[in-house]
Amino acid sequence: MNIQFSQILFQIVNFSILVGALSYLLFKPIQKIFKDRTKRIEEGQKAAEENITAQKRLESLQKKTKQHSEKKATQIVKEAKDKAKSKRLGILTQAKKDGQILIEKMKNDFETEKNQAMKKMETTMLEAVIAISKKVIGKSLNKKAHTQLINQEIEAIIKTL
Amino acid sequence: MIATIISTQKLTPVALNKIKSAINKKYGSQVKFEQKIDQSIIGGIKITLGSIEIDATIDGKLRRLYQELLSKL
Amino acid sequence: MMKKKSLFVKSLVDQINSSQIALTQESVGSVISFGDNVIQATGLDDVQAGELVNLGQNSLGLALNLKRDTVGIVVLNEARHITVGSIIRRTGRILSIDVGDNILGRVVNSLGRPVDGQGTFIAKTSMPLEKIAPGVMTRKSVDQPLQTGIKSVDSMIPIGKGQRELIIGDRSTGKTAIALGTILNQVNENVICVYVCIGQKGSSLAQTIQVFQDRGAMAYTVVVAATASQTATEQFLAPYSGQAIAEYFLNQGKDVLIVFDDLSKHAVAYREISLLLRRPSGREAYPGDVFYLHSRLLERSCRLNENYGGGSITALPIIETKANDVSAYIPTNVISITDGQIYLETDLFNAGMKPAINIGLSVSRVGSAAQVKSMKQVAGTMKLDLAQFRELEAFAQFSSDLDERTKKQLDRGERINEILKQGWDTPLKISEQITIIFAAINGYLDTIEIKYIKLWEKEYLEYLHTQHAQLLALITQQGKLGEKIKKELHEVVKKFNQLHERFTIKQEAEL
Repeated sequence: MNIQFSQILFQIVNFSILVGALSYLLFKPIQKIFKDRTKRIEEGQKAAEENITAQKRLESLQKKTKQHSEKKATQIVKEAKDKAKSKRLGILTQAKKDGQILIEKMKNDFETEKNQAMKKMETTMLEAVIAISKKVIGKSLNKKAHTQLINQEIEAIIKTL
Repeated sequence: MIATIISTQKLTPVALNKIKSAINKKYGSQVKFEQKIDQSIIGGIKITLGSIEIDATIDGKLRRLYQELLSKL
Repeated sequence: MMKKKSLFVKSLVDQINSSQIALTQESVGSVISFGDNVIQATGLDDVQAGELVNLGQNSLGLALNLKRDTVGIVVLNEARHITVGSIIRRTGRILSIDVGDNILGRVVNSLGRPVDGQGTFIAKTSMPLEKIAPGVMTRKSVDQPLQTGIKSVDSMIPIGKGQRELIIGDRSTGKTAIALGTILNQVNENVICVYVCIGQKGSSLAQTIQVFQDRGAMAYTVVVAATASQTATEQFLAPYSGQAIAEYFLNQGKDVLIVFDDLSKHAVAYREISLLLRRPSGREAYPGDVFYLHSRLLERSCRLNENYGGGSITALPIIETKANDVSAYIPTNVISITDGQIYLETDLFNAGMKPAINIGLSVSRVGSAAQVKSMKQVAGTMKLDLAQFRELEAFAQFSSDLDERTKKQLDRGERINEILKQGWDTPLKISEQITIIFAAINGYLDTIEIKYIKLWEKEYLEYLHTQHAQLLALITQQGKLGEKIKKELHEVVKKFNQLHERFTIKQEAEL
């Protein structure tokens, strides 16, 4: 075989032109495509990471709100309990006061009833006294006493006429 | 005018004249006189002159005493 | 007990010894005729008109007709022992009743005697039943509100202390209910109430007294009872007795509310007495002085100026019309005497509007001079708006297609109407009324369904009392709605509506 130096040279030049042409026409765009692809993958990864952080943030926010509303709920329940307690106390004191007022009223009623009974008894006694006097005076006057009484009264009447 | 004299027993003529003259002096001589006997007045005398009643009976006195004592109770 | 007895005997003996019983001279009369509780008697020469006459056996009569030869006497309580020829005597007393501070909480009859079975009360003075009304110089103009607790009344027909406001309507329209609601609302207002019952059924009066006792109103109320079974004379005198009791408290500088239930039966009782006394009758057989009967009674309700104690008597007379006829004799009389009327209609009552007040025909001549400033601010145009709504309502029944604006006006009017409905025994404080009317006027009810408005009101009041009690207290205290309070009220109603979504009108999904 006769390897001619010019043919090798020619092949080398040929090859280098080919490589150059390919690298310019093919290599670069393919590199670009690869670069874009890696960029996109990177961006996708970054977005995914951001998502995860956002999700974590949301979760923590949710937890915080839950805690806050639980706190508020317990606070409301506590306030309600306090109000109920104070209301109950209020009702108790009111009931005690009402009870005292009722006792006072009953005492007063008893007093008035007692006084009324006394008064009734006194009135009955008075009536009895007057009735007895009527009967007694009627029986104790004889004819002479009557005439004397009548004359006495006539004098008195004449004085007023 | 009619004057009614109510008493427990009939009046003596002296007493009757006394009262008649006193009434006639005040109300003129047109007054007619009536006498009534009523035991329920217990004693004393009551004279009704038209619309005025002069009460000097034991019953009336006791009634007035009762009213006075009742109001003071 | 024995000691008391002997003391009593001793004092009795002393008194008997000290008493001077002499003869007396009395003016007496003798009965000529007696029938239908009217006695014609001769004698009694010096008796005065309106004087009490002793008929014996603890019964009294009233000398009403004085003629040359006879005296017409009306029997006050029972007098079965009277026969022709019975002797009757003068007492020298003009008709009066004994009143004391512990008449409060009692039920008395026209003669001032207790009928509730709780014994006598200690009387301080004796007040005459007939009295000339206070003169012009002793009075002061009405400028203080008397809160009835009824939204329709306090917002659009306000009543002031010292005013006379007539409650007029047919039977069973809720006239007594308005008066009773007003009495129940005076529980912490330092106002004494007198309820005069003329010719009512005994059972209704017993129910009323039970309501007063259950709600604690008896502590500041006196009931004067002249029920239908009592004599015409007692029914005739009952309003004057009530007025005398009210004047006793007026002289102490207090504010009094007096309710006459009702004056129609009072006029009928007076007609009965006058016809039996053979007085000439006039229109509808009423005697000629039936106007004076009521005018001299109602003129005694007044407001006094500071020199005379500063007290007031507010009168709420009740008149029953027949078939809505306000042009009959007694209604026209009393309308011309009073300072306004609250007009109740059966149609409104049957349509479910309770209280059945016809706002258009009702009027209060004292008006907003006797209204709290805050109420004036919210309810200022409500009367006019309601009147316009009623006109529009009648018109809308005939037209099928209405424009937006008309529809909105109708909705607003319907809701204001609904908010004015109220139970007779649930009076509202003025601050509660103001917040509710504020919500209605500013359109916060426009999104609420009509059938839920009553529930809305109940829960709204509960919400206010539990969460915003200081706001209510502030409104009561300040008496005027400043910008801050208005803003807060807006916030409160908005928040309440948000929290209670179930009341709002569900929007129909657009197909």
